[in-house]
Amino acid sequence: MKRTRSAGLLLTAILLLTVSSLYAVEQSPLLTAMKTELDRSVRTLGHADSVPMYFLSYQVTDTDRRTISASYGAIIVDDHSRSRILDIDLRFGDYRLDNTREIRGSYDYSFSNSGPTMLPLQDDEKAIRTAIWEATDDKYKTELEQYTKVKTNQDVMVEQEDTSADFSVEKPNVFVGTTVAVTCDTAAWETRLRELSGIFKDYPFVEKSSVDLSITNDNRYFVSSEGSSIQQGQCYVRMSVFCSGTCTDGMQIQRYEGFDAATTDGLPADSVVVKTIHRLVGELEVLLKAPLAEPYSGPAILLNRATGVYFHEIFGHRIEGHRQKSETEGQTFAKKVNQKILPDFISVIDDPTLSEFNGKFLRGHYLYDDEGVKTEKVTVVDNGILKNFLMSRSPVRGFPVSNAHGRKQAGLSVVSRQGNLMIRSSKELPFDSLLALLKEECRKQGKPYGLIFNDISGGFTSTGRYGPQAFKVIPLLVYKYYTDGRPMEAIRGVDIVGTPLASFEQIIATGNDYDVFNGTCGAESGSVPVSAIAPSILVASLEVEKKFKEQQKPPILPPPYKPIKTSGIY
Amino acid sequence: MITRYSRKTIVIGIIAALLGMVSFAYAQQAGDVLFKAMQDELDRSMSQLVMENLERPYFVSYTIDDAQQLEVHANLGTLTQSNLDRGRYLSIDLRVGNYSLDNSNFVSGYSGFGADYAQLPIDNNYDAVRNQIYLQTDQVYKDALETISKKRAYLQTRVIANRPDDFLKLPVNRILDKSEEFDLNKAKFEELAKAATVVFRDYPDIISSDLKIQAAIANQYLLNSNGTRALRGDRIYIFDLSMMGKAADGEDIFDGDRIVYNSLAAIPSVGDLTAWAKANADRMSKLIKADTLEEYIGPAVFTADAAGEFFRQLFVRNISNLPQPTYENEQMAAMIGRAGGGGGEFAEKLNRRVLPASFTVYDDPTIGKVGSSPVIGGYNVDDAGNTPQKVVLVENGKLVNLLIGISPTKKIKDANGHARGAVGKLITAKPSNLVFESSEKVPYAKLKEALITLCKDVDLPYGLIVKRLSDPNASIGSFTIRMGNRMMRGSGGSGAPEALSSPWEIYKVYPDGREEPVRGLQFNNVTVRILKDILQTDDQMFVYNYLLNADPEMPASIVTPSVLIEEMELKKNEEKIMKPPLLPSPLAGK
Repeated sequence: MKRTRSAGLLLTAILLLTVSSLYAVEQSPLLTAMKTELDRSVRTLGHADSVPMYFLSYQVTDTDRRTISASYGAIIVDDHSRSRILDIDLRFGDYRLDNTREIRGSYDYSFSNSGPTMLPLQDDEKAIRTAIWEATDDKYKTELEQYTKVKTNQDVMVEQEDTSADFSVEKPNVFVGTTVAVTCDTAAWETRLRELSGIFKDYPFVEKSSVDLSITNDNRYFVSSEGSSIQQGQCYVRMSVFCSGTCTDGMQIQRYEGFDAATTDGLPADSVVVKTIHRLVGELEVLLKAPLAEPYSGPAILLNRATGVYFHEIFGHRIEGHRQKSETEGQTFAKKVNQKILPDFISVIDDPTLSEFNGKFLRGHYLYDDEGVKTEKVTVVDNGILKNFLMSRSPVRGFPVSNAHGRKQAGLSVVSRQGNLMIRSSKELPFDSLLALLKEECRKQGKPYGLIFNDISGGFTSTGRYGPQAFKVIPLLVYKYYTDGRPMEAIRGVDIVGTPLASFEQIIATGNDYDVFNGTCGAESGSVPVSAIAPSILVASLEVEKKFKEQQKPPILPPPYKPIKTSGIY
Repeated sequence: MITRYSRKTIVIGIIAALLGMVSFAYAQQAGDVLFKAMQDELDRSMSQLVMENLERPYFVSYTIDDAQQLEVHANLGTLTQSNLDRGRYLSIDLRVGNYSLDNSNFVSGYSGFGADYAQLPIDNNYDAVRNQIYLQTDQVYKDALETISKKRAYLQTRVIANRPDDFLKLPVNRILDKSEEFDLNKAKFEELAKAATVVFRDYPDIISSDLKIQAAIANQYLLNSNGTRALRGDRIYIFDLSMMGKAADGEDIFDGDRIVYNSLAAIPSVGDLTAWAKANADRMSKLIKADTLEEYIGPAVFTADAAGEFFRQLFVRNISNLPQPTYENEQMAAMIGRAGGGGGEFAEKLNRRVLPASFTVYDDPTIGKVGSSPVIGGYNVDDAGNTPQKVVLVENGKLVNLLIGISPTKKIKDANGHARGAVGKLITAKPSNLVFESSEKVPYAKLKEALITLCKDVDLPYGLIVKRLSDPNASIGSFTIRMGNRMMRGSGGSGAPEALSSPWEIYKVYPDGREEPVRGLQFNNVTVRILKDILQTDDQMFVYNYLLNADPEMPASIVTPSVLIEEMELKKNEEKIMKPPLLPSPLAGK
């Protein structure tokens, strides 16, 4: 039964190879229109008021997205959307002090008068310029008012701890890159997703499930009064598999796997997806029956991709430059430059210039950031010593320039964000040795078992000063690893908690099994695609607490159709 | 919703059906699969769905809205947005308890405001559709058990005098309309939108403009445990134009217009739509250059569009959504009431005077026309499977009846076919085609003369004619936030918006009949009692089309003459004025 279905799916895959990708390498008329209106604005508005408008940039994000979602063998969603959103960075004063300076002592509720500016989807110069003109006029007035508030705030407040400038001086860049327009054979994909999503029908304990495809063509255009003019495009293709169920005590369990690529051709074959579906279903079944875990503190291994997420959440966000500056931030690492913050065998690098790692697509890749700065490899931690931060054009003490990490979602303001975060180790061990070390560490601490974190969904980290500056990470798949040779046992219902500085000291060794986690990171400047690359790590002590549990029981009646199988394959 | 077809539409429908047997067959098949999946799961739910020792559902109703929706935005001859979506949505009304007291009409915390819904597969796949119905039913049943226990606990400790029953006994119906074909042509509407907005390139004074075309085709499949089965096919095409400009002193000027059609044959040609856009642009140019006025207290005429919007804000709001639900939290009730979500001031006014004695008001979902003018609020079956009925609401100025949805009020216990809802929204009593008739009517010229005479009596050099009011419910493209700011300021900081929204188009009228546009005004101290100050009307019947809750699923019409009101109070907009643009528009010169 299973074999015949796989064969059918393979046939579909061959048909899908006709998928086309189109590329263009000439300057878009959109960029020309942006430049024309920018020049006019700078020429006329630059010195229109007593305070000079010293900087102006326009960014247009052209997003074309197709989403197809299937569940239980039927299409649920098949959407296509396109938008062009304009963002304006307009600054009064000078690089040292301008209208973007944080207003201290109060929350600032002021925001632009209008929502995001939607530009015409056709390259019609007059229409594009009219929309830009109106938005610029609005922004000019709002920011001029903001500048006055900043000046007043400066006069009445004590001097800021970090007196860095508001905007770094950077070399302008001119780059006309390829734009992307990846499409797919919709009918063929619908057929494929129907078939794949139908597999879940075999398992009565699966409540919700889906197999999805999304293709996002993200083309960005940037011009600035400093002379930058950039056109670049990136396509993000993701195929994902999801299933969930409810335990008898009401806890919701979910399993998810995503496949990322730059084109649909880069996605895995059906055989791989089918295998993944069966693995996820198997894990779901095990977890639904797994015992609830008790709070625990002791040795643990985080598998490679789980380590990537762990570092992204609890470390990556704390090395974002703007967090070292804002007076409301915890500034975990602000004064730890050139000090040891991680074990000396660990280095942390963020390198958005990489488009793949060991043949795997990296979502965190880009050429120029959203402030037009060219990307470079940034060594944040060198053998345990903090060397650098991820910088946008908002300088912090000791770091006056950007290293191209100013990123954002269209419609929001830039802050420094991660790209491709890599955890490098000089104490790499084969995974078996890591397991042996885990056993040894348990014995040393008198623990009957250690924990192995197989999958982490993400987490929360509070870097602000108002709340506790702790983190919580949500594991999806955790095993007990017994020292007495008993088989591993899946457990459920725990979150990893801790405080960052203490947690990093606990890393004993790492594996040599580097792997990529591709995801989407949400923060002040919205959702941005990111990657994290890491080996598995062994930590001497990690604390887990009971997680929030949903209270609703599983469905009262069985599914309405007759399932083919009654148990999963693992 | 809109199932009254003009004869022309039906003829076209038949031709389309003959030409396109394939897609017609598709629609048949969709209905077969959806009804079967609903019926099978309904039967199972009624007989087997029970949680341990708790109560079983006493009523279940499934509604599937199968829809194709288009939204196109254009300005200056270019598109800024264009989306064509296909979706199927399941709404469930599942009740535990009994007709007198069940889990409905109770707002606890943030739940009870809207209705949960689930997305269904768009494929006609019985297993996949039924599985979603099953999962959603399970969820809704558990929520219903939780709600009724909270509601019982709440009622135990409170005295509520003659609380009406929660649910009325819905008659059993079988109303199977023709389903509509999903034939929205995106490219055609994109071309229409682009062509019609090119004219704005000649109007540099209009800083921004947006034409939104919204079109929706929906087939609604309803099935309940009483045995009712209904199918209704709807289609609607909405053209919404918004414009913003700035007066010389910097004041933001907003204006707009909306035209709505319920048949493909009725939608305007490129030429007609362009002429409409141009007429709007011309009017807007004049409004930008209009004079300001400090304040005005005196008689006023509301014509056509403005009269429609006037009745909608003061009358429709108060006749809708009755009876009001019980709120667990009294503060929440007060907040909702103030924010305008509640309305329903007429709940306690049965048999009392709400309009001048010259007025008769009725609501009639069964008509497709008033006189020769088409109306869009009608339907062959309401959103609870009821047969629509004409309801006379006001006789000789007195409120004599109420619109009934699925819950009886204290005095009126039977359904009258006014249950209306939409995906994600509760089904409540709402109007369809609401007709205002007056016996004190004169030709429009006489009405204008009467206005001038009234002004002379109180030594006013001019009177006011209001021709257009802003629609506070409309989502007006990119101007929503700016308009929102104005509405907040309009409330004078008290948090309670004025009962009547800002006028967009208003004219001074002098004794010689001359009309001059004025700008920068807003209403002050308007309450529902102003309805009784209507002195006279003209003898025309104007159709004002709108969307209940700004929802394309709930089109409605108000049919009204122009009205003369004894005294209106207007004051200057209290808004902070930004300077005019620093640079000329790229559309100007060169």
